[in-house]
Amino acid sequence: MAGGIWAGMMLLSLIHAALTGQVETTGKAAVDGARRAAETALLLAGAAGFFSGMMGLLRAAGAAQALSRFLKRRLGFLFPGANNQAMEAIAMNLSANMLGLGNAATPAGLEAMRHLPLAEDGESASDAMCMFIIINATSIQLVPTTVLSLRAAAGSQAPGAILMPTLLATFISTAVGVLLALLLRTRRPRRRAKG
Amino acid sequence: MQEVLSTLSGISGWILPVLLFFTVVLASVKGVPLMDAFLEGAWQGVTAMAKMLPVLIMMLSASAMLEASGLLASISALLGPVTQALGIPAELLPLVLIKPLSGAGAIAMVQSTFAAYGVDSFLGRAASTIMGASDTALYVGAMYLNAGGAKRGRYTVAVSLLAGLIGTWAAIALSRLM
Repeated sequence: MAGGIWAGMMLLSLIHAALTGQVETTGKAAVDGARRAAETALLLAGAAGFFSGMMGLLRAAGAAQALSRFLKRRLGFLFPGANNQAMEAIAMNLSANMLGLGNAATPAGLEAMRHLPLAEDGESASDAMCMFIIINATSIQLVPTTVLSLRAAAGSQAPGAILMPTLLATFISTAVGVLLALLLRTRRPRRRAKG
Repeated sequence: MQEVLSTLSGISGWILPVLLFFTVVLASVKGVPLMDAFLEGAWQGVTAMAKMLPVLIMMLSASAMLEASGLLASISALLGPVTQALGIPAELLPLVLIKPLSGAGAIAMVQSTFAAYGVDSFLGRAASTIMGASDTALYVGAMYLNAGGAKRGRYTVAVSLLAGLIGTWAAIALSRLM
């Protein structure tokens, strides 16, 4: 799907350029953009290396594991039907995501999805799966290291000025996602009181 | 309200230095082999970035063409009134549209915003905040549903996108205030 969007961006740009007489600059822009990508990757590699290095310290100090244990104990109610293995992987994924350890988060997330049960029909996502994906999709990263690096590279006077708004915004998006998911959860058929 | 917000944004500048300080202190106290642990983490960060380069080339060249051809300006002008009604500045529309699909594409759009309007301008800060407010919802959803063997995601995608949109609104409003 991202491939389709990419193709659309290129083709529509070229058509628009042809109609407005910007063909030459647009052709040049393709190569300029590619060069900018290499520059960006190089700039980000420094900052990404630094932040992952700091996170490496946190992990070695046991902070990620402590956070993971804490989350495992507290968040069970969000994931009905999750067994111990699934909860373990979920907690690991969430704690890695919070700390910005993308490399550790994705494998743990894939493992969590494999251990979570499907819905009763055997082919739809269960409520626990939906909740897990929604939490991941709304981002819970506490310090947006990539954005910080991009801002610093762009010569910002205050790269960190966005930290507090980002923290609040990502809290809001995740809270809305979790609340909606709880509302849409399949209700267990309640036994009617006899009488 | 205004006072609380300005205090909160004053804290922003302290978050990172304090985090760095306590990370080093904690690691030292716990007797972590500092160099080994840092270098192992740093290596993962650098290789992750290297793996991202091809996608970045793809998305940044396309977004540079989008700008140079004038199509981006046309789209923004066309959809401006609609997005204005939704509370999203037209200049941020490309970022908001690509964000759920592609992280590299979003990086490209943020960079374009920085280049066009300045990194510390309202639009530059709003774009930065939108980046952190949600993740690439459609990509994440497709990857995890597939891993779990689920054919139908039920309400997953709709809720993810709606929550992301509300996060985007919050990001824009907070960038205006703080």
